[in-house]
Formats: sequence, C-alpha cells, structure tokens
Amino acid sequence: MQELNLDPDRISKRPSLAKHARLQIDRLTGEPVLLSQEAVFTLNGSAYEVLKRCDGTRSFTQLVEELAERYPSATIALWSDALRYLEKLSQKGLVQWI
Amino acid sequence: MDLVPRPYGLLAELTYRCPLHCPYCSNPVRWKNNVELDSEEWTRTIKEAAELGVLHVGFSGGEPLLRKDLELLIQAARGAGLYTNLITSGFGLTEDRAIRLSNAGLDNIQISLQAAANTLADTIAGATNSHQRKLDAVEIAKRAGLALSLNVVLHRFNIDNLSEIIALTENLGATRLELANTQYYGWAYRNRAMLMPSRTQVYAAAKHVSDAIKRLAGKMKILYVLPDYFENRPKACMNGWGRKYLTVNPGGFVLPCPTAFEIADLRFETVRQKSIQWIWEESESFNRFRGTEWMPEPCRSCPRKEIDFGGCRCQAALLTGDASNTDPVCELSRHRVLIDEVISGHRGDAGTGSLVFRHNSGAAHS
Repeated sequence: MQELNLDPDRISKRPSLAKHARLQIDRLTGEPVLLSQEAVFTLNGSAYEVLKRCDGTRSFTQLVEELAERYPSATIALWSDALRYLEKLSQKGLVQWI
Repeated sequence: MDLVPRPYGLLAELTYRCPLHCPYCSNPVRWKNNVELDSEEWTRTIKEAAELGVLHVGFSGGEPLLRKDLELLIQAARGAGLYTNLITSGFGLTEDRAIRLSNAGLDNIQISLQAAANTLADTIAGATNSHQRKLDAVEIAKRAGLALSLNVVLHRFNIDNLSEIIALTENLGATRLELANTQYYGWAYRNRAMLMPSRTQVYAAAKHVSDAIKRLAGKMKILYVLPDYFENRPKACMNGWGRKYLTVNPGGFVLPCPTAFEIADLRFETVRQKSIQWIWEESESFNRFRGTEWMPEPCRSCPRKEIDFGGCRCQAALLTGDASNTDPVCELSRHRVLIDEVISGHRGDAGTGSLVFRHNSGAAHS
C-alpha cells in the first residue's frame, strides 16, 4: 500500500487541474472524461466528483469535507482514496498543488 | 459483422504548405495542388467528427499557422466540445496571434525543435535563424498562457545530442515532450539512408530517455516514439487501422493515417463527396484493414495480432509492394531482410549522397 503524505502542509494546499487538462462529458457515452494533450482518461463517478472540484479554489481538506457533506454515505476511506487519486494524477502532471 | 469502433482523434492537416524544409517530413513528396478545404468545409468536417465521437483534434500540416482561418476553426472545434491541439513549427506565432489563438480556446500548442543548438537546427530546418525564431515562439506561447508541448524528431544527425535536447526542453518549461524517431514515409523515406542512426546510437538514446522519463515524472511527460526498424516486433500503427484515429488532408481526403497515400491501390474518399460518418463506417478504405479478419499468415495466427495489428500498412506497401503483408519490421516477416539491409548499411548507396530538403511543390523535383 502506497505511503500517503498526510502532512498538514500538503493537505491545506489547493489541488488544481493542470492548464492542459480538461474535464468533459463524452457526448457519445454520456460519461465523464479527462482530456489532456494527446490522452483521453475515462473517469468513474467518484473521480469525476473529485476532479470537478479541483479548480484551485478549495484546499484538499475543504474538497473532502464538501464531498462528505454531499455524499453522507461515503466512508472514512474517502480521505485516503481521494488523496491517493490526486497524488497519482499529480505524478502524471495532470493535477498541481497550489 | 464486427461493430465499428468509435473514433477518438482527428488529425486536421490544414495545408501541406510549410516555410521549413525538414528532410524527415512525412508529408507526401508529390501532391497535386488540390484546392485546400475552405473554412466552411473544415467547420462541417470538425462538427461531423465530433458527432461521431471524436474528442481530440490536432491542427497540423505543413504549417497550420499559414491558414488565416485557424482561429475560426479552433473556435468551431471548441464549440463542438473538442480538445484542440496546434502542431506547429512556431513560424508565424506573433504575440498577437498567440493571444487570438488562446482566446479562440486553444487547449495546447506543440512546437517543433530540430536540435539543441542553432547551427544544426537551422541546417535541418533549412531556414536561417529557425532555431531562435522557435525559441521566441515558445516564450510567446507561454506569455499568452498557452499550455506547451515540444516535439523533436530524432535521426542520425541529432540523436547523439539527446541529453542536451532534453535539458533544453526542460528549461523551456514544456509539460510534454515528444521525442520521435524518424518514421520513414514521404520525404523521410527518400532520405532514409542518410537519416538512419546506427544501433549503437539507438541503444544510447534509449538509455538517456528512460533516465529522463524517471527523473522528470510529474514535471514533464516524455513520449518516446521508437525507431521501429531496430525492434523485433512492429509498432501498433495508429493503434489499429480505422480503430481510433482519422486524418483529413488539405484536399479533403479522409485517411486512416496521414501517410495512407503510400498505398497505391487503395481508393480514398473526400469530405466534398461523402460524410465523415459514411467514410468511417462504410468506405472500402477504412474497412479494408480494419480488425483482424483481413490478415494473412503469419499475422492471422499470431498471439500479438490484437496488440500490434500486424504493424504498419503503409510500411508494408512501401517496402514490399503489398499493404496486406506483415510489416517487414516484424522478425516473423519474410521481408525482414529489407530492414536488416538498411540498418546494417549494406545497401549500395547507404550513407552517400546528400539529403533532399523538403520543398512545397506539386511538380516532381529530383
């Protein structure tokens, strides 16, 4: 299991989609996709809900709290799942922490 | 009856005209001076492609900045919900133009560089001050707030300078770098003997690239296009014929790949006569090599047939005379010797003679 950086300095930063990355609904399937340079990433529902909120205006903590409020049945794993996902995208240059 | 897959990407070659003369260009060496599609024809083409499922459009050429209606087309593409990429030499990218492109909704600009240093770069591009003009274009693009990718085509003359090239692109602040070993079509095929690197050069390059990919993960994405002549299995060309991508060339011909005219006995359709949907789904050209049913042996029973799709049809046509042959790069191809001859330099005039620099002409020039 990958180490998660739960450094308060990290999670108080604001995740933001990279300038070259665009969130979109695929008109053919109705499913959310992340488009970037030459790539197309299909997204599941929860990935989309996270990325929709990555506009650089909310800290990671605020983002997760917002999700938890919106989806009260979400489990305690929401924190680590969301962080792990954003770190993965950050490694790919798709998300920045500002 | 197989289901026809939906396309994901459109390559819109707006013109074959170009101010540069790169000898590795894969544009056709001879092309009839067909009347280029106009703004309305391109707009319709873009909309039809979007309706069919395309999500990305690359505006390319030749040099797409030569088209005055480029901003209009980008706007049309964004309006149709497409991600837009501009694939350019950077020649013609003024401050004003960059701002207009950004306002039109351009998502990403990809600028080509020919080398890490002026003299070599200018020589390859065949234009004075080319390298500096491109560096200026990079700064202009960044100031206009455009997302930046860089592309460097690799060959015998610059492959030894890979670490300098990577360092330069890193300093320029691109988020994506495409290091593309020359693919031998068009002018590149003409210049193949001169452009072909040695095996030693190719191995050294691969090491540099793999180190750089690790070092720059998260900072700059590096895409490395392999020199397939040095591989034992062919590239999954276009990810399969008529499977994910389509190209529309400047005259409106709809092609499964930008070099498809290398296949002499295939008839291609144009947007002036048929819809994109009909061409993608019904045309002979798109169906001829779609899927795996058309494959002769050894591809037909090969466990990799749905991984590399038998390689490149254009390469099979160019080198063996028959587009349905296994790509001769494959070590299982009975034509593999054609590749081995070239990479070991045993062909008669390999390495002698000079590069033929690309020029814009419909007429046959030697």
